[in-house]
Amino acid sequence: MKAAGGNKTSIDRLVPDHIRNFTPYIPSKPDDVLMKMSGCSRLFRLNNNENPLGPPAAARRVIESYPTGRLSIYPSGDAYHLRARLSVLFGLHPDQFLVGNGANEVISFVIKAFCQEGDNIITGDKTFAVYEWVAMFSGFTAKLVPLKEFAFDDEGMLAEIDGRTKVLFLCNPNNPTGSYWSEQKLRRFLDRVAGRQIVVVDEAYCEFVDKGDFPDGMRLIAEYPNLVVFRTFSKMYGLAGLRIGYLAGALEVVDVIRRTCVVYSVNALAQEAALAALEDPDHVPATRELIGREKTRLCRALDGLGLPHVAGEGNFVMVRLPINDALAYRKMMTHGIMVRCMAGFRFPNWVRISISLPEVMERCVDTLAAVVAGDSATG
Amino acid sequence: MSTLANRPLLLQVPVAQPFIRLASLFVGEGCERLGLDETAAEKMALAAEEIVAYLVRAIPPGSEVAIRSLPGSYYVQTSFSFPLAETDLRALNMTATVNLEEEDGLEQMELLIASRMADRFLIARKVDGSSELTLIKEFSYPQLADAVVADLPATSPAGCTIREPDSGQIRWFLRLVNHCYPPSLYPKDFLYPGKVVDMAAAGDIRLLLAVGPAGEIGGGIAWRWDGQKMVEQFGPYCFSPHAPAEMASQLMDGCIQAIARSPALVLINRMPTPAMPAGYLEALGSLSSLEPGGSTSRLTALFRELHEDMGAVSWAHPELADFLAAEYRRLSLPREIRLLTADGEATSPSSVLSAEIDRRLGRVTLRPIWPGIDIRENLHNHLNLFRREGLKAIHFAIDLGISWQVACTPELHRLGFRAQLLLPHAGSGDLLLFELLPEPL
Repeated sequence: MKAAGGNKTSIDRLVPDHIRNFTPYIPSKPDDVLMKMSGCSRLFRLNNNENPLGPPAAARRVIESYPTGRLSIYPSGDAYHLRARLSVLFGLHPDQFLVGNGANEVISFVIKAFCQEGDNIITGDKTFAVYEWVAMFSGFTAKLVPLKEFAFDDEGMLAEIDGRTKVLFLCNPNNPTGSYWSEQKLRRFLDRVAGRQIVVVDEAYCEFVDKGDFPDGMRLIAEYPNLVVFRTFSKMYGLAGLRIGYLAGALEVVDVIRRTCVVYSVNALAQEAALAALEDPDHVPATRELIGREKTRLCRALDGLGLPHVAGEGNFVMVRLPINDALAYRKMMTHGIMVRCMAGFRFPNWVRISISLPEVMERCVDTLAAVVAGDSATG
Repeated sequence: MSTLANRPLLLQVPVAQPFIRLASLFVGEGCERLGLDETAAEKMALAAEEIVAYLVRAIPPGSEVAIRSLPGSYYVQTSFSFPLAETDLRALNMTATVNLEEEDGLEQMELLIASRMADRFLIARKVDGSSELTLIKEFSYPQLADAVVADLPATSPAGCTIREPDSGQIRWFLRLVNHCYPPSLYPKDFLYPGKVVDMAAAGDIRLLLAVGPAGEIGGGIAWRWDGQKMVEQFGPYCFSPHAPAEMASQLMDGCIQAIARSPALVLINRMPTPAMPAGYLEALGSLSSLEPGGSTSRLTALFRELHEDMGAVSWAHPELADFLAAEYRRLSLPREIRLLTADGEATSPSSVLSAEIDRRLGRVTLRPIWPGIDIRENLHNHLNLFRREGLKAIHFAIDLGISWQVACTPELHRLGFRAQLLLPHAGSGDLLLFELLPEPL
């Protein structure tokens, strides 16, 4: 009889250190389970920056009328039609786009394409975590530069570049602080990098920004061949459940990234819904109007509660609490309001609230007020 | 130590008389190569010899034992994995005595010797029915001399920055902690600066210090992993009465930011200092602790979760249902309480308890290692021993994520223990600490 410990030992020896030391991300449980656990009868998710208006009407029609007979057929392996449409929209060649199963997948494509053992990436310390995670579980170092007044620190990032730096990740506007680099600042940064590294600008929330100095990364690709731009259909276009995002860059850069790209990873319905979403002229203005109005109301309410907040660009606001964020989360969950704890973003005692419909936001503010009033003395 | 020396050493041998000596040599030589001194390595070799000799008698012929020695930053551990689910391990209890007149006296003597050779031991039952016994032996370190008094910063250093210390700063920081704080507010390891330096070098403990422009240490904070999901925090320590309030907040922020994207679900501080800033942690409950003058005081444990709590299952005996429901409600922790009583299932004859003693605080914490029908007698024996040794704070921890452990509850109540402190995510599930209440006069 073989000792069980022998098997365990064998598996242990197969696991690289960077995988052994990595934490698997635990996503939230489904709504029905969360409601049962928290004892609430309704759940309003204000934790993932989803669009409360859902997908554009044109995309809804595609989804609702999708013929089930086509489900047995593989999708276009490289999102042929969607890339063609994007090329027209942004004035680039179709081969300058790569479509992925959500923008998270294209992060992996880029890191795999350019990094090898001993290399590093650079990003902010308080930003979207996936750049850091993908680098770490792929065995590369993620150099984290502290934000400066809630914004990416250009000088700090430049100072961290060394001979093994391959990719710099900028989230513009930044999740969760909503800060952004102007076109002038981004250009200055790209000039200083001078093509020596790949610069990724993640524009997941760019459609929410209505500022004249906000850069359009797509337009800069022609001037900066080392620039790679990420976009997603999960936020403004309300297709988070279908998982579809893309990257764009210079032909020669995308040609390299394509070698690490898993074809057929984007399902057919997502491709068609995304294509339709781009054709809806009313969706973006309607969403911006709702987000702008409700964000202003939320900030006014937070001022009234005396809660410091950071409300930059994007469909979210970050709030500083007098109690710990995980406690606020649990207490708000008992009232059916789900916000995002910010300790995981390295902002202890902050929560991030996604902007939603007026009645949901009112309920959120009432709940937050009650939780803070009841527990500000705790601890 | 070289990278090569930091790798685990492995041996798999048949459980048979001719291989006892080989197992002993392997463990002894291996532990010495992994950093134990000669005397400690010899003790581990003797322990290995006794364990394999025990297995030769206890498990079916033809079985194998896998022996794995692994270096830690301040210890070496050796694990024995063998295909045996049910056995009599009672000699591993610290109260065990052996009567060689009895039929199984010799077998129990082997385990008794093995357990006394190590500093700590663990026993795990695997889902496939096999078992793993792990012995841990620590390196020896000199204790911080009582006479050593650190110079306190004359005033609170202005313009402190929060930074990770080097080994010299760690040693100086520990002197300051020992000088400024009572033993109930820092862990026993802080008495051994060399050990803490080794732990910090390996990442087993992390520290952040508030350091002034001239290098003066204004304060600090430390934390270490305990299991897969919990980080235990110590401090924040601020050495000047004039320390700015933001120093403690900066230390707390630094600690939380450092573990924010780690596997930790929870940060627990069982020894919070008066410098703990408000709003960071939540109060859990309190346990008794011995003060330097001999009096006892209550230490309140604090915690915070590091991520959204996604809910969990807690096993519980019906006698605990009301307590747990009230605690979970108070803490707004989403938990499904599953009540469990004994249903006549087969149980080992002998239970095993581990005991972690901190004599500075007059405290012992018992944990169930192996279930057994003799749990009442075993607990009783342990209590008698601790009373004889003058330990005043007697605690018992059960892991609510491990169903068999909750079966101890009625016996604990009968002996005068009461559930006092719930530590979320501190074990496989939540950890519940019982405290032995003082006997009525």
